[in-house]
Amino acid sequence: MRIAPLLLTPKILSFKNSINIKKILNRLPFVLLGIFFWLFIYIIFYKILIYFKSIEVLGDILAAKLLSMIFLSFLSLMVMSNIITALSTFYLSKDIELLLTRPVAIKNIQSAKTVETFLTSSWMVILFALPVLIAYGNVYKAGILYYLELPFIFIPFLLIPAGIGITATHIIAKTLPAKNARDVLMLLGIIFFLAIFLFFRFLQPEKFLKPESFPTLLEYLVSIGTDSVFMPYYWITQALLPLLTGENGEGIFYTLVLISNAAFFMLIASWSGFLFYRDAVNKALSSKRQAIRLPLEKFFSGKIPKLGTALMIKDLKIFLRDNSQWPQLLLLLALVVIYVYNFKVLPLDAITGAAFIISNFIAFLNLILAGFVLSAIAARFLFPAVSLEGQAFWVIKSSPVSMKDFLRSKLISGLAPLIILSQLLIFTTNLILHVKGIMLIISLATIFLMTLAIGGLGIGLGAVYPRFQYDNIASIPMGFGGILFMILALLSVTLTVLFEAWPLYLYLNDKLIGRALSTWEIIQTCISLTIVIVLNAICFYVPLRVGLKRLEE
Amino acid sequence: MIKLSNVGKKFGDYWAVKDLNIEVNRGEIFGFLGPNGAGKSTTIKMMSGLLKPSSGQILIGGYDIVKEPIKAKSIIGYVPDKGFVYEKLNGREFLNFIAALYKIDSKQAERKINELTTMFSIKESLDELIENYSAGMRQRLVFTAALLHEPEILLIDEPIIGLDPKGVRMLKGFLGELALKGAAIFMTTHSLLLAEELCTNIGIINKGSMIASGAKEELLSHARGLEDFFMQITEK
Repeated sequence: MRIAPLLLTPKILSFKNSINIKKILNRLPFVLLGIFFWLFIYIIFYKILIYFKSIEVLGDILAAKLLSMIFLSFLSLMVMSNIITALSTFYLSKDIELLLTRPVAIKNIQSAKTVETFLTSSWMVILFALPVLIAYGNVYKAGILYYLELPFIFIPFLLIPAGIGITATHIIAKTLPAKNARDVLMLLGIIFFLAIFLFFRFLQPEKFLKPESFPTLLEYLVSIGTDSVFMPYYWITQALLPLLTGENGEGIFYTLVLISNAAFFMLIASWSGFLFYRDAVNKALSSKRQAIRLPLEKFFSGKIPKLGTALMIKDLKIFLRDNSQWPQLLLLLALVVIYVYNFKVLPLDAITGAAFIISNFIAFLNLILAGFVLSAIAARFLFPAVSLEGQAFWVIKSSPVSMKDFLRSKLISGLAPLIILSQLLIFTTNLILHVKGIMLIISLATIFLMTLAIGGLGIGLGAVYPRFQYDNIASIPMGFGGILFMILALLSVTLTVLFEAWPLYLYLNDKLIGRALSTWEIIQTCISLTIVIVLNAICFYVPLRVGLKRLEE
Repeated sequence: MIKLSNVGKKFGDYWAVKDLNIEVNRGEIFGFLGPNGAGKSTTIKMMSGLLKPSSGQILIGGYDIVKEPIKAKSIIGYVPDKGFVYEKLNGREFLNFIAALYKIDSKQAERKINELTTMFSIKESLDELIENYSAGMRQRLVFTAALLHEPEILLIDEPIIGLDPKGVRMLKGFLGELALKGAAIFMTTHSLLLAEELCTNIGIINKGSMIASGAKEELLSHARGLEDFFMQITEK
């Protein structure tokens, strides 16, 4: 066997060995979720394209623009994804030391790593581009030629960002120490990805469904300038369109442009590797990752903080220095922005008569939505808090620290940001909805109670079901304890809102028709609100108590 | 200083340790030996408060480790066999964190960190992330952390794992000095040479039960050395 393919066999065998019925069954929910997502993408694109087709003149232009924009986003994503993947495969993967100490030529290592980088960073794009491309094929009733030529067009398109990414990686690794370069690039990559995500949201895709906005939308699409004859996404769009519409075009020309450019960029990648790889890998193997300093750290330097503060500072440092936490944190930020933005674009001006009732009703429903969002955040950040001590938990367990103090510090450091976030979320959205007075106060108080309950459930159940040995932090909430937490948190949020529904109905009735509450209704309101307080207090206290007992054992 | 009375630990239906009686006084170094899986680590984990005994009582400096864990732990220095520490902290941050857990004031902590890290030769690496440390450096760091609060009792699970010959030599001298100053040291080890050289008392555990215990000289009076004695008694 030739050397370069031989070097790929451990990866292929590892992949083969990881496929067994038991593992597939274990991951069945995720596999099914993936299949549903795949079908969802296909159906959405099919419906959109059918809709476009029904619009004369503009329809085909919109479909072409959409295709061009999809490839633009693929291209941007793929460049970043290839840089990050290449840094891992070429410089940081565990087999590098093994390969470098064997009698294998560097060019063979490079070839194997190039294939690995391309496959690792492209498989997901290939997988999720397929439903889109099949939807285009079906809507435009493309012939067999479209499907046969697709690999010869799409793969060269993906090879271009791979070549650019690998070249950029070699240059970056030569200039920066690879271990920190990955952190910096990972951060940039995530920000870039989220910027694309936010960009698409801010485009207000819901406008596609309003025919009256088409002239402005078209102007808008033209103004964001997705058509540049020097860019690969233009080439691939122009290569595919004639195959889809059956019209004569320059399809073959653009296919050849794609293939020749793919070859060129792969050659450049190989050449840059030949120039830089040996020195850069040497640098990567001898470099050490530097610690990120917290902005407030200088105030603490030289002083031994009090126990509670010390535990929280330690957690904060570990959290911020762990780059696997960053994507989640930034994704959370983007979700919050989109959450608030969704309220901003609500057509409240269109409802004139019942604006007060509608906005108060939305503000009330918003509590459920915010509660669900907070539960998801807590599942990711609060539930794993105890497990995050990992195999270093012996440090705490063998120290003169009570488990009560330990759990308290986890609770405060998890709950404080969650309370701030939830209050800001509800306050801002209510401001946008023009909800003021008693309804605003009730909303803020309710979300405060909900947050306490979610926090207690998260930290408490995280202590009852800790997983100190984990490969990936994100896997911690995936177990039984995590699922139980999600069920209980969602249940407590739903019950809280349900018990508040009657008092809200009475309040709105009072405001709308000016009818004063009867004594019985006041009693009902008091009972409902008491139940809400007791329910959330139980959710806060009981799991913490059980968790404490479990840790003490 | 350390007293184990009829201590046992049960995992499910299996007794990993049963009816263990050990006493370690000030100035003594107790070597706890045994084959793999004999119950050494389980015993030391119960003594450090990591595991709760299923039966019996463990007194540390007169405090029951189950009933008064905070008081007992505040006089223990514990060095585990696998010294997992917080990878994302640097050495200094980790030691400062330990100082906070033991409520050591800033000045004393700084003095002790300086003194111990100089002795264990890791002072130069203190501002590096622990994830960059070698196994030996981690072990030295864990020792530093265990000694920061000047413990009266030192519990060590496999003391020389990861240490280079220079480190082992330095550690032997240090433990001897510590015992002379009045500390009670309890250590598990597979190195019979180290135990023979360093320990004043020896205990041998097999399949969860103590099969020999006493002063070293007394135990070895009829054997050609600790290795000979260990083989004889564990193969019975």
